[in-house]
Amino acid sequence: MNPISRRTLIRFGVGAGLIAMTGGSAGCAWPGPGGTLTIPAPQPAPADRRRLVMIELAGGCDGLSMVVPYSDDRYRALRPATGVDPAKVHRIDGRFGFHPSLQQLSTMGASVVTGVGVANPDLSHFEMLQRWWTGDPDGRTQPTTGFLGRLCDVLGDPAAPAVGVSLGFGATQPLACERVSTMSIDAGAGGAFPVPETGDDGLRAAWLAAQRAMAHPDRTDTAMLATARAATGAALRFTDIAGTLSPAGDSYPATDLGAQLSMAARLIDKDELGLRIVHVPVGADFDTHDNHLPQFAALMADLDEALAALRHDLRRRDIDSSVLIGVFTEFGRRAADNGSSGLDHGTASTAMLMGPTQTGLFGEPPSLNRLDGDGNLIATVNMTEFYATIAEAWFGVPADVVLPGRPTPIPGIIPVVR
Amino acid sequence: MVSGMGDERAAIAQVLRRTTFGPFPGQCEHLSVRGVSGAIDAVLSAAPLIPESPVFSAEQNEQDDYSDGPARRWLQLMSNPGAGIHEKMVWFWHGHLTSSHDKVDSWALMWRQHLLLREHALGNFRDLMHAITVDGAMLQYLDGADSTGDQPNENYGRELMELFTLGRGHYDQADVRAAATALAGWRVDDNVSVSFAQDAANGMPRTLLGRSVLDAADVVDTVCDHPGCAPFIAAKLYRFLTGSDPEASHLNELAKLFAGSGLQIRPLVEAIVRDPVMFDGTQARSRYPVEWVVAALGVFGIDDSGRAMDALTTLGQKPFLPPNVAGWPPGTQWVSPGRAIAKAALTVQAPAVRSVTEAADPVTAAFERAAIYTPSATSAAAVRRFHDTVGNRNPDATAAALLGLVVSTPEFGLA
Repeated sequence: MNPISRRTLIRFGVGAGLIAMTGGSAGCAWPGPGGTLTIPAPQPAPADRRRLVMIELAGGCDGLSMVVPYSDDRYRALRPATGVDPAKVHRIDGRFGFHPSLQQLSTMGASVVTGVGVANPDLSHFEMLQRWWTGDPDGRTQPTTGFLGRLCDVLGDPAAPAVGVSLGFGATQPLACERVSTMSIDAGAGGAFPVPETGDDGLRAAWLAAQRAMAHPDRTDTAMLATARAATGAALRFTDIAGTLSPAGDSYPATDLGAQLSMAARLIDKDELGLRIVHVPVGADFDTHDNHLPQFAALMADLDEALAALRHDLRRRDIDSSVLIGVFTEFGRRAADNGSSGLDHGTASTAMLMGPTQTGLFGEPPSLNRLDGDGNLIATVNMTEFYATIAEAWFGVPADVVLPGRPTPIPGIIPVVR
Repeated sequence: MVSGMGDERAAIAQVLRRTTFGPFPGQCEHLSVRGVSGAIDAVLSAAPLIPESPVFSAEQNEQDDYSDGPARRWLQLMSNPGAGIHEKMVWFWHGHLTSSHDKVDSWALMWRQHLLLREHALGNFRDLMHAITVDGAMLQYLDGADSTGDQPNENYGRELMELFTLGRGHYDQADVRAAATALAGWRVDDNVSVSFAQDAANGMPRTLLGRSVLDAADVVDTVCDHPGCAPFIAAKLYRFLTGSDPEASHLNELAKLFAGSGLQIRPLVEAIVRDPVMFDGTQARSRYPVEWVVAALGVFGIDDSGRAMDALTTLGQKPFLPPNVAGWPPGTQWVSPGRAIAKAALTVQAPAVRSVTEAADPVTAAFERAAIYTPSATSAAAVRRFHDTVGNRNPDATAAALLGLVVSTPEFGLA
């Protein structure tokens, strides 16, 4: 039996199987800063123009709060203290609705994939982040490269300054690769390489020349020294181009995520970087062991505002058809409250794809009646199927080149360009 | 090119980079008469520094870098050339038994935890774990506060085993549940006092790692007695100080020493610091931003904890604000391209200092001020060429930039 037809339902008026579509059919009204403007969701750009912004909600984002099974009595029974008020959700259909704070997202639309997880989950943040970063669902093969890094290796030009960029100071594992340059930089580091503030142009030039010379590999270097030199070299190649980025969009929230997504758009808009993938590790903490409701509402409000700003910015730059936006987390949270008005570590969660995608609900919602032995959701969509959708359906990279287990893309999310 | 004296100072510099937040200008020269082993003795025997009490107020509680605040008080101690291994261990424990002001939201609690880490930094690990388990900041940070026996919050119970004492593979979800249940019943009230409420606790023994546990003290004793504990801590400390993993047989010796001493921290630290790998000259470890910034400002002769906090903000490592419960991981991300840019933003602020401007050879003087006694040929040539290109035309600006350049060398970023 084809596992896709059994497990993956598309429940938003779209039949199973890859579909061809026109831009208009996925159109929606986008409330812009100057009022509501209706923009059709764009047709995907040709494959060689396609880019990805991958947003990582680290800490364990609760899928059942992000997209709420609001009509499920079992949901309310499990979560007397952390359940979202059903009257306030933005309804997607008769069963599910976006969190009340995801107001703009509900208007702009997203491909929502419920029940995303792994077959043998672990409840450790660090173990599960590692599995997501490396695209290793069971933690068995333990590749040294990251899933996004392997994609960069296939997609990118080894001569490009930065095929993948991670906008944060977290682990570099997601973009670890073997063939091309990827790097992590601070979202504020968009300018030129710093030089001493002196009127002496010759001194400034000599300073940069010295920095370049020190970045040149030395055969006697230890591994760590070589890494440090290479980092300076990569920084110089990057700043040589990033010193001339276009101005930032203006509607981003003044938050870390706002700054990250603003920089993501500016970098993607700079062809000379050769950039294909931007990884955005969200600094805010989704680990809501206590006080879940207010914390989660604030997290979603920031996400909503920043995502809307990014989509407007990509549209303004006329690159919206070439940028897929992904949102994932390492795990969801326990089905039931924990007694501290919070939720302990869980398993399956909800992931999203946005941009030139078919909006609606995908994947089979995990059952709230049939939980695992620890009271956690049983995943219905494997992490690798979500990843395969990005690799194969979006980038045209066969899933088995970058992922274990021959996963199949979730059908219907990425329209096929005719 | 390098004299025997240079090698001795290089080895001492290596020890100081790993065991303190220096070296500071002149320190290696001063210690070189005592040799490497004398320098190690000095680091190990230095008296713990005693912080000035920070100032707390309601509005300052909102900030994380006000001038009399905890973070800057701490940075001032790190910048003190009299600081020894104790100061480094306080930092190690902050990155191991993490709490963040971001969530705890009380400087009074964060500072109390800081003093707790100071007290136990070289003391007994079991005592440290007993104290930190019911520490107010930790109870807030990992949700022990308000956890009840009926509905235990699993956060602390899990991280206690996964990150603080054992590592993955030694326990299962039933153990997490048992630990969480036995740990329940603690409270932190609005006046930041910690108390235990028997009626919120469990009261029934649970089985944790094969042992019956009733309360927090039982849980701590059980994990500390577990055979996985001593090697886990020994390996993490070895990695922190040396930048590499110990050989299996060496780890076994260290763990045996640690367990055999009843989990006394000082003998373990001494065994690692006296290991020849500490000063063999291999730069296997990146300097964490806080180490890099304190040392860089020391080289520049700038005594300004506010400037240090600014640099630490862009480098992504602020005291009292670990990124998550796992603290700041070891590895190469500290020498990433993004950090090279952020570091350059500080090194361009280097001043012209007299020991460089007045030196017969400003290049060597700048390297020595930064305690780089055996620079790589590539870095030495790059800095020399810079000097030869602009030195005669603009001596003061060149001297300042020279000092900035030596601090931007990849060598200065490593330990």
